[in-house]
Amino acid sequence: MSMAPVPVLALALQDAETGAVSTMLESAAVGSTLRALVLVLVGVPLVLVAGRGARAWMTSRMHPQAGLVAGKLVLYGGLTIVAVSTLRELGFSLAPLLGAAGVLGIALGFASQTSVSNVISGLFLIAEQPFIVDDLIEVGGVTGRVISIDTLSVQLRTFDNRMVRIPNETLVKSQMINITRFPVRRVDIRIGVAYKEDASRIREMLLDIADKNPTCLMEPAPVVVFEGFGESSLNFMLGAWTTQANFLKLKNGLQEDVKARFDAEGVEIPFPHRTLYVGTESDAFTVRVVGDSASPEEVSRDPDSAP
Amino acid sequence: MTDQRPWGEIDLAPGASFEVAVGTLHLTMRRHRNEIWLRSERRELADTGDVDWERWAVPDDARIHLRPAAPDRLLVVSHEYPFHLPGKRQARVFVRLPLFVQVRLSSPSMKDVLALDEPSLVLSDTWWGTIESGELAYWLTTKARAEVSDDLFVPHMAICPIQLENESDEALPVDRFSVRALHLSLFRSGIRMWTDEVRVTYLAAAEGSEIHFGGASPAEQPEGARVSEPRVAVRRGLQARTFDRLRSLSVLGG
Repeated sequence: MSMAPVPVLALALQDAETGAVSTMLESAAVGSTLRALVLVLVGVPLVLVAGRGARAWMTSRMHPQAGLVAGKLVLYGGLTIVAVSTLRELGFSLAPLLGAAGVLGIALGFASQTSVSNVISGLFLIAEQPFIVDDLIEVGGVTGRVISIDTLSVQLRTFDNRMVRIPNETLVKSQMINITRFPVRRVDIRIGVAYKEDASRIREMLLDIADKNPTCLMEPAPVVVFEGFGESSLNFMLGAWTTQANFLKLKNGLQEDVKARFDAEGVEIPFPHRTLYVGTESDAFTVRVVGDSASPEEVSRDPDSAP
Repeated sequence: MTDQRPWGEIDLAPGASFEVAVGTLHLTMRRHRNEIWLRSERRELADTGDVDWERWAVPDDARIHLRPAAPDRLLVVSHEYPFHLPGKRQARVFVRLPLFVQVRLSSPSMKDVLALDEPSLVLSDTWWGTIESGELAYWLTTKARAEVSDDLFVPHMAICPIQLENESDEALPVDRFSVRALHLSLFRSGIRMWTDEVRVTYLAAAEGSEIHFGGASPAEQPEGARVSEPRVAVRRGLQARTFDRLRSLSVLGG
């Protein structure tokens, strides 16, 4: 009998301990959940602000591309830290999670090869830097200014204000022209003049036109190339250098100047000519003029005496 | 009225007009109630078309100042007679550079306003550096000289004395070189306008040149009064390419 109170006490103690443990466990769980919530509520906005700050700081000190990369590094790095810390706070062990992520990663990798390829291509684009944000590029017949280089794709804004999304993989695989990589650019104007014109006079005239255009750079000096004998014209190329900003202005200006100068100096810009022969090289094709006012006679024209 | 003495304050009564020619830049100003109207035309261009007035709403007591300023870019200039400067030797050359015309509006109740900043002559653009990198510059048609004569002084031009020092062991060809006009101050004595002395020390082809700006009226005209501060001040001088040029770009840029 003397032992009877012991089990009762033991049971009572056990109940009390279980309750206390249970209460402790419950309060610990609530505490962890609260801490995790605080981590998310404070950490995520903090990371967002830090990402924006890093982007602005790097952009002001270097260039927009560096700002973009820095902002994304801070953002993704920060979010990863917040996520890992939150999971640990909630009592998740990272080891099995990473193991499961590995298996899941393999499965997802097979399922999303294109996306993974785009991500890896994006890393190459960022490392190699064939272009940066604000560059003007041409890819597959599309020309536009780079507005962002993202994880999967690059976004361009075309001149008519459309947004074009090009997957990173496409950019790595295909030929891309960076139009604004270098600060100066050459405007090429191709001009044909009649065979009767003096080639050296045309060369001097074209160089003079370039010299007189204020947007044409004196150095590198403009150049005129006699490209050859065309079907109907002597073909010249006028190459004049200018800054990227003045490219269109010079291109328009030079063509207008050439037309005005040729008109003023009586230089003929010919349209395509065709002379038709039948039978022999010397006899011109016979032309019959048919019409109410025309007399029905045959007219044979010597091509050299044609008006 | 037309005035050929360009610089200084312009007294413009309400309703009055003022015209001035500086180089080939022709300026017209009018005061209408609390507005000042400005118009600039280029006289060397055959057909300038209709030129619009630029209107500035200012206090009634606003004053107009016409001031000279150094060019706002690098200048590329050729020497009249190209020469070689042997190592450890010095030479002095003079460059005549076109001034910019600034119209400033000021009043006790208003912060000073730069209403106009244009070159007195039409200047051609050129490129200084390599085809991959460099800077936009003005091409001077006037040549650098070894001496200064009185006929060089005109109201819209300033003379810039440049002391070239070849500190390298190699001979330096002085053919075409650059003048960093952004850092020049202007000094006036009568009709003569000078910049401060530029001292260019050539170190070696790979190192470029050290450039120092005197900041005072040059030895040729020590009594000159300062009329314009540099657009961009430099305290200790700078190191930059002064004698390089685009030799490889004369044909097709290859």
